[in-house]
Amino acid sequence: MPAMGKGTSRGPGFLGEFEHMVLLAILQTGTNAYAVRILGELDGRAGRRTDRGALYKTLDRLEAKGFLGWAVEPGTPARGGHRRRVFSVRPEGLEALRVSREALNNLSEGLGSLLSRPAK
Amino acid sequence: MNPEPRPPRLAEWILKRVVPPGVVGESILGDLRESFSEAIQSRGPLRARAYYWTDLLRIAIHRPRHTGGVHAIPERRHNGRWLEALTPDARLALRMLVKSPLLTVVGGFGLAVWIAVSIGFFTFLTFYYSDPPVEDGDRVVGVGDLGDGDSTLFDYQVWKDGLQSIEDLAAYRTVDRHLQGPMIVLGPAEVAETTASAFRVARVSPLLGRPLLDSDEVEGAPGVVVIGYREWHQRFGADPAVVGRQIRLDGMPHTVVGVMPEDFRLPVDHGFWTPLVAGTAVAGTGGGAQIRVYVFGRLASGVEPAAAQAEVAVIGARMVAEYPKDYERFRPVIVPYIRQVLDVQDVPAWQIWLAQIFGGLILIVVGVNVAVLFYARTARRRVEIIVRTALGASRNRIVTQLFLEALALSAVAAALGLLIAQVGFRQLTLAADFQGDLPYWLLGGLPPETILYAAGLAALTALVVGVLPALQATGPHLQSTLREMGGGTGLRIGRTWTVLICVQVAIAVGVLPAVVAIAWTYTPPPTPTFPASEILRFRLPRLPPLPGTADSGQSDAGYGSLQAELLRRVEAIPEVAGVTFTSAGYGAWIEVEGPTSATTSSFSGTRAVDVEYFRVFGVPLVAGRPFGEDDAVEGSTAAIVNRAFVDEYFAGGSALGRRFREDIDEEPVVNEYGPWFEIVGVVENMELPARGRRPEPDIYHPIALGTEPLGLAARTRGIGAASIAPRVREIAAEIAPGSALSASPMNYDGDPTELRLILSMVGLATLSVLLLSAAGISAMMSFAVTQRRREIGIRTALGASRRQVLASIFLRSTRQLGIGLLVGAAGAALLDRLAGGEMLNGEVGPLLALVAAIMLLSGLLATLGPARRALRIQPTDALREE
Repeated sequence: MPAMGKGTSRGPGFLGEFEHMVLLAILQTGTNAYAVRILGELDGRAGRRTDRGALYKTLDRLEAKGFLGWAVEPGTPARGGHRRRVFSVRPEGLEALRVSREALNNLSEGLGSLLSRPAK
Repeated sequence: MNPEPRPPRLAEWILKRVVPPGVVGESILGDLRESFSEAIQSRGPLRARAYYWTDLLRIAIHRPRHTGGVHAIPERRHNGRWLEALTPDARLALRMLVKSPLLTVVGGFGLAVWIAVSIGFFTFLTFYYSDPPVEDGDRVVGVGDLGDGDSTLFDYQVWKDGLQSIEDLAAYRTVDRHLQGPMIVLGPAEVAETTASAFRVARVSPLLGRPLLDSDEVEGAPGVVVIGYREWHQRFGADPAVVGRQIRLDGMPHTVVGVMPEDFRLPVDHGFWTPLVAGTAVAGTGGGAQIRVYVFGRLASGVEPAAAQAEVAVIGARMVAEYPKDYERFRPVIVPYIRQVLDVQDVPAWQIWLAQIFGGLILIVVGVNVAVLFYARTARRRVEIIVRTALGASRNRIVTQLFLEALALSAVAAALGLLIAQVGFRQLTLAADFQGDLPYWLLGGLPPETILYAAGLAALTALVVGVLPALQATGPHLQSTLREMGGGTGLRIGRTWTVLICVQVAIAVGVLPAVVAIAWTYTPPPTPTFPASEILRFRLPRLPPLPGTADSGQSDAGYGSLQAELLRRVEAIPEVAGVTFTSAGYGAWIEVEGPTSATTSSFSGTRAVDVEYFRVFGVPLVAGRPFGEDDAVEGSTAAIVNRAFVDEYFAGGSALGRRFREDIDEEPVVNEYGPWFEIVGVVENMELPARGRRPEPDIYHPIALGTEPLGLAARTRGIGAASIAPRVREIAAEIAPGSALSASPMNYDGDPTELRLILSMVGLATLSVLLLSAAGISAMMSFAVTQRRREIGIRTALGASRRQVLASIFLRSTRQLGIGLLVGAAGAALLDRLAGGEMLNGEVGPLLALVAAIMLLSGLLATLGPARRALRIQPTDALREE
């Protein structure tokens, strides 16, 4: 089967793997989802050491897709007084996550024995 | 309360320019700052800084474009369009690099070498201003002496009692020890013998256990050692229960009491710390007081360095008054800590800056050189430039294009220069001479600032290389050239460029001899006059009891007989021709009885040797007698000296029966002599000195095998010494289990890393200068031939022979070379005279002649190509172009 080109497979509502993870990390972080904490979640829960530059880029992209919004909160001494952007997932983002999850579930159906971790 | 640690200022400054304006950028700055604070806590300042730089790079690569709204989009589009306009120029610039391989290779290589040199100077500059990575590192200062150079333990006591402006004064010295113990990696260990106050100066808490305490310094206190993080991992397998373990350092039992964190290796690059047991130090009395130490401390709160300096000056003056004999040349000084560590406390900042400027100037000269090549190429492309101008390209547009071409070249050169500098730095830190000499916070490689510096150099060089020729090539005369396009006059090689060629040849001739002379001095290292490759040196460490374990160690008598037994057994190995032993060498100031040819009191190497020593090593006796068994007794006055000693003190005459004595005090100004010794024999020098150095005078006293650990040696019957090392170790393991004998063949190759580094840098520099000069001359000549095409054509038509045409071409290049050679040679000779003849090692004539010959030859070779082109000019063609 020929490989699918990016242009044909990725519509505006499509979630890349990393975008998917970032949205979930924001949801997991709750009301305090700013970049440092999101990185912490990705590292802690997904075991993924993330390139900070890539994270900012992805946050911008998700915002451009309308999946994210952010509010400004005042800075702290540890931040040198700089304000922070606290991100939240918009309903469109939640919907994209649901669609993505559904697709994954459908594709995983019947593969439980293959995909589950073998007991040690 | 201490202020929050700040991220690297430069990185923060760049970051502010990389991130988008407004709250988006501000939040990114805050994120990085917060992560930096966290990293400081968890990973230490060194890593935190590294992470900050890495994050900055990553953000720059992924540069966030979105700036928080649609308002910013038009500006971005504008930027994009400007970039788009630049892209074809940039592509053309890269294509030009490929299209002019000679210019790219010669120019790029020359620039790269000198950018690397300039980066080297810059790196040292950043080192000169660096602070140790401890809390308020800029408050840590060294207390030194500009007079005699070293401080003593006595000085430390005086400072400690008197100085108010410095809190927590510390002293340390570095000693080499042999590490032994159960379940650890044995081997040499560089130990900082330090006062406990060093840990208070650093304000760093141990990872495990405790630091050294004042109570550890008391004489008779049980031996303790604090180990570094790396040593804990590499030597102790990161044993979590390491605190409390017993180890031996040079056989002496020590208890591990603490492990320091990863980013701590103060004072320099240490991983073992034992207490400096001070005892009672008294001025000028020798012994413990005269132990050489480095003294450092932390400026008391609110005290400025100038105030501390004033205070040490007052105390210093008091010391001079109190002990005029010992402290005659005492010039105490307070310096930033790094300057003490790098041993540049007497080098003022202006000298460092001058060196930096000098490095930059050389680069500009090289840049001008490459500019000559660029100009020649630009001149060849005049038709392209004229056509573009006619089609409406502005002068700015064309100059930008030429600048970009130069920038492409200088950027590649800067990258290569960084690489050369990085490799050079790695080699330097590997060189044995530098191990343990560079402080740990500078060992990570070139500082990140050098990348920016290299980028700056690239831009500056591009300005010199590209813009100057471009401005000249696109100047007001371009219009007239356009009108005369059929005339073939084109651009002119100005007098400026001719002068530049002369200047460059002069600089090459002026600088190269000194460079060659330096390389000459370094190679080769001293060579032995005996078969060193057949000598295996070994040493049996002595084992006192290990408290708290079943290990009862060795008694005096037990050790003495083991040492003798080991020698007997080694001598019985069939491949061994003989065994011998010697004490460690030391230096001593000598006073000779009666008339002597030495003008000042001299320093001689002194060691005690076995009576068989010279026979086993194969060193011939030149005069007198060898040592006999009767000599090797307590209180013996017999001494053997080497030929260099006789040359130094007796102008090569007879030394037999003459007497001398040694100053047993380490201070040159204090004369406390030991007994008289009588010279009974003279041996050949055991070393041929390095080129440019004189052989060292040596003294040998007789010694017998006793209960002290001595350096043992075995000579093989003509085979490599390494081949018997395993057998010697086996014997040692049989007769003294667990004693960890050290055995190594005598190494006389000098330090190959350092040598290789020096040779490759000198080689690269020389090659770049030669190539650039040759390419410059070639470009100039080739241009001159093009310019004189019509003239040469007419001369040929009028009957000039090929020889006459060639002569006229070579005359011109020889003239330029000749002027350059003369000026350069005069400059080199003058510099040498100013340096008191030390620069060229008294070999001005041959060196200058060698360099001049090479320059002349390469210059004339470079003229060959243009000359051949001149010969091919047909009169009819040249005249038809009229």
